[in-house]
Amino acid sequence: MNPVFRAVVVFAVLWTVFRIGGRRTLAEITTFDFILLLVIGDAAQNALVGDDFSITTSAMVIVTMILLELGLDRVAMRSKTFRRLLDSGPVIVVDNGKVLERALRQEGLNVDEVLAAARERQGLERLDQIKYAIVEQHGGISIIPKEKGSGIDP
Amino acid sequence: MFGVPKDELEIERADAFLQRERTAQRIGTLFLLLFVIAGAAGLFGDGPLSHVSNASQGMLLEYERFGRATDVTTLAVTVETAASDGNAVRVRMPRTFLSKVWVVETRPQDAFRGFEGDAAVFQVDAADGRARFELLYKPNRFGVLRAVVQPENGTASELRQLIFF
Repeated sequence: MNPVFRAVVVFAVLWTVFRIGGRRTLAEITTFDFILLLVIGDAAQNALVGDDFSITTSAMVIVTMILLELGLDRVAMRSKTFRRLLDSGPVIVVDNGKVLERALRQEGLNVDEVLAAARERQGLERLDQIKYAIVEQHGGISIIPKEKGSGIDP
Repeated sequence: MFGVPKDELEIERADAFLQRERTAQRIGTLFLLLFVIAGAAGLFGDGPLSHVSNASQGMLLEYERFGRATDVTTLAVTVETAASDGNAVRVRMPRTFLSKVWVVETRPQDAFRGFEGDAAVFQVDAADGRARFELLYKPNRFGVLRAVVQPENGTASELRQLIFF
């Protein structure tokens, strides 16, 4: 099969599978996730080049995949709907110290991960110190702490 | 003096879209699961649903119903014969079938005897009333692969394989 066609098909399969699987950033993957990614890369490589190890084929595959990625980015820049389709949107999982269980579950996270992010990013100790915890488009967790003495300003 | 509430979080909420996305993810996950189950069952080759034993009068064809392009698959042909041990048994299959595959190996190695017209001829010595050979090959295209296998004295049988890429 033509290497360009292979690259398009493998790109589509990888994008679809990872889009279905949900979002996690490199910062949050475990050691096993990392190893799994290496294995997936190896499996994809076999599908991309088959028995053909020529530089020409490698170049065709690499360039095709880069162009596909650039093309998607360009379209996403121009279209909000397409951007959401590609990357989803930010999701609030903690609101004023209260865990939004359903949102958290749907993002495939647990409270421990939110607390870990709170400790790492803001040095917070407890849930009630968190004003908002948001799962961003890129999969990372943003923590907005409650301000000291927060409440109504006189 | 009146109190001023703190600023609300400026964030794009697309709850309806997120709900649709969740549904799509659940459906997508189900498809992925079905894909894996189908693969394990042999619907893409190498599994219980894939193996075929096609028996006609005097001949048995064993092969994989589903295969993958560039992956080795095996066709085993067993012919029941009245020939004495050591006598040759010939089997013919279409030349066009061999043009659609890369032959990796024949067992025994000298089973393939060449072409006669539009047929490829295989010849094996009989032993204990049977003659058997195996053809290991890699399909070189997708789609349906067909071949009518004809023993010299017996009923033909058809091989039909669906080849995935």
